[in-house]
Amino acid sequence: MQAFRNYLLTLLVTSVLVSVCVLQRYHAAYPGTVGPELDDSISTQYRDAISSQQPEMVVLGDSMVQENVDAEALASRLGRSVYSIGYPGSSSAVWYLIVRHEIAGAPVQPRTLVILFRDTMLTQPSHRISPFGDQAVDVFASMDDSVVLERAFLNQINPLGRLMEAYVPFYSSQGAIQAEVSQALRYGSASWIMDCSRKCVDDGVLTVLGRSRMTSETVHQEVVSVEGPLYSARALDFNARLEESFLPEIVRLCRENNIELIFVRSRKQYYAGMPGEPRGLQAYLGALQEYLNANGAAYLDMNGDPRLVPAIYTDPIHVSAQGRQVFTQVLTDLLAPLLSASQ
Amino acid sequence: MSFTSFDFLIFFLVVFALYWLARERRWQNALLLAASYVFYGWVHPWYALMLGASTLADYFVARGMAARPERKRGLLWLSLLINLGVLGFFKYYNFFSPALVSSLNSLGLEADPLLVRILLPAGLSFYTLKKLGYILDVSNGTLKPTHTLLDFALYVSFFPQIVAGPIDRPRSLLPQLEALRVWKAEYFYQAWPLLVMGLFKKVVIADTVRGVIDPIFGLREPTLLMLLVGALGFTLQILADFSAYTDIARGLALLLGFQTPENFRQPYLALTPTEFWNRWHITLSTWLRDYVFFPLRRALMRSKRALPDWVIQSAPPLVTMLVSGIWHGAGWTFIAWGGMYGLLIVIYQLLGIRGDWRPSAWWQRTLAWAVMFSFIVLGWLIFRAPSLGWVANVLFSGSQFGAQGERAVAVFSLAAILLYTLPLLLKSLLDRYVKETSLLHSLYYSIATIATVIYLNASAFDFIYTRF
Repeated sequence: MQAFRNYLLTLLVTSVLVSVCVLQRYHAAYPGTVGPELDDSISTQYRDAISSQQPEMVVLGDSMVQENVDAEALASRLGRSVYSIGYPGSSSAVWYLIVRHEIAGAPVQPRTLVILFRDTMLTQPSHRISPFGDQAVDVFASMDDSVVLERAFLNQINPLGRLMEAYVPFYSSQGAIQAEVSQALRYGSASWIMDCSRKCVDDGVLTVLGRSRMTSETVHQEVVSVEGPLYSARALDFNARLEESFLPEIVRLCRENNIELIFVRSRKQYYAGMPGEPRGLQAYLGALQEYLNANGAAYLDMNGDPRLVPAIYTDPIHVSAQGRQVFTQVLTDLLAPLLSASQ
Repeated sequence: MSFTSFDFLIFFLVVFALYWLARERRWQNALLLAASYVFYGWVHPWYALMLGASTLADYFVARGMAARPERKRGLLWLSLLINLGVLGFFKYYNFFSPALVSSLNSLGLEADPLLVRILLPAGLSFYTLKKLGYILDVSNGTLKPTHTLLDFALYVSFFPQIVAGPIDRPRSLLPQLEALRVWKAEYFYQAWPLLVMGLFKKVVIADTVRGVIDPIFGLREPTLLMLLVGALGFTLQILADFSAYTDIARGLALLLGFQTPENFRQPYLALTPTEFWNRWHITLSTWLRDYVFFPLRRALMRSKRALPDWVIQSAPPLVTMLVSGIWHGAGWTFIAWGGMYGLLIVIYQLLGIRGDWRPSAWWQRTLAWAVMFSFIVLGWLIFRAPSLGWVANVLFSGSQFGAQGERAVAVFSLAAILLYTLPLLLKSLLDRYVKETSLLHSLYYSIATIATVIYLNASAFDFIYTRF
């Protein structure tokens, strides 16, 4: 009894002290806002490139686009200029922001936008987004992107989390505090013990802990754990997820800007812990295809192609250098009939 | 449903409220049973179905043993076959599936090993041991089978324990299930420090250290220095993670009015391998001692063929530790880990060093601790490594310190491990030298709570032992 009473009193006092320190150090408001604060500084790197290169087609996606698609080969085989945006670690929230600000917002827009996705990614608005903030969203979002705030961040914060974000400063600032502790340890210890500068540490991390030095099993596991949430029962319910996703927004933006929109479902090598495709995925994909067709967007699927064999993959989603040519050819063969028909 | 998730918080609050509102023991048990099956089947409902089926089988086997003592032996074998068969199938199928796949491929049948993996039901190893303990006790005549299916089903599935223990024994948990439970404030006063420490160890220490060492064990060829850092890190991570789970499980059980056994008693202070196993995962060690070690030693001593003394002394610890390794998982690393402890126990015995050995000279104690701690770290290295070949490759043909980048990674990883070790050391000192009601304890728990809130991420990692 007495121990618990002492604990409560001490917790109250220390919480107040820590909160004051955190508010001072990170210049945070009290009560805090729930979700990350967006500012108006946004990247224009892709918009500038699209403006100067004026490609006829843009291919958008995550690291799969970066690693699996050879944009030059695709352009020469399709006979139209192609600009590819493969943003590693991105998902539908970031794709929506790129479509809004960098593609639809470009002075000269491409005629066609191809989005490469996997399975349920298009209707998972918070996939790969940390509720405490996301670097990619910071880069591409402006202050009027409240839809991103609502669908990508706030939707995944439970009521207790919302309360704590507003009233417990050391909870809402956890990202900054953790980063500070981690950086102090990382740079402080290396500098103190072996006189290694920040750059030396960062270079060390990049070279030593890069994906190329990991075992293939580790890379597999990493991909699998990131992709796991795409196959929950909730994620596989297309109709329930559609309205809270960015898909209707992406479709609307392209329609308003007369951009031909093509979604291509990429082939994934396997689903962890499941003997084949997850149950419910085909029903989901059927509903997705129906929705896209009804809204003037095209749906293509790489999954039926026999050329995408396991041997060309280095992990469940990425292919090897040789596999890149095969993957690009399969994509070309899928896109070509559609593009010639639309011409 | 993880103990550290928001879903679980809501689940537990609802169960807790309804449980204490139901003032009758039968209703309390029925509610706990329903809650346990909801908890267990949360992600995969068929897990709960399998649990229910195997519980029914063992309930009737035990009843059959009591009703027809002449059939005891046959029923015991039946239960062993069911329990070990299910455990073996789910746990070791993936171990043998590559061989199966290559056989299929050689027959011209295409089967990708990654496509034929079978998911191990969480907690299967734990509740199988609970059921086996019950059946073996009934079979030995040291326990009367319970007449109530509800009580037995709850004994097997009790949700604070089902995923990763502690492996409670029927003689301890069943009488508590059969007794009336009335709320007492002391339940809460005993539970809160366990819950605070459990969450702190999991969220702040184990998960943070995991982020530091996982990349090291994921490398194709780490340097020796990185390997050492990784092994030290895992030594800290597994203690923090597993003891956190146990603390939370015990705290939750206490809030429901149950006393459950402790699983850890400062294991890294052990001076001998036997002492380590008396302090580490105590409920598993005592289970193995009672149902594997003692019966095997008795059988060897009573053997009609006079066996040499060294066989009688060496075989039981070796076999018991190998069983422990195999129980942990299907893989040569686990078998080697268990085998290493078996060998160590035998060697220490041959040197005349018993489990309770405690030299009077401080330098002897320090030396013995340093030697044992090195073995513990080596053991965890083998346990955590992706394969034995990987360990051998790094140990015997890897670079020692590597280039500057590799040294930098090793140094800052070690710094993080040392920093996150400090709270555990401090807690040990406080427990040893400072009164429980002292302000220092309160301050420690307060800072631990604040740190937990700071490190509380939405996507927490699973507890390590939920995989076994």
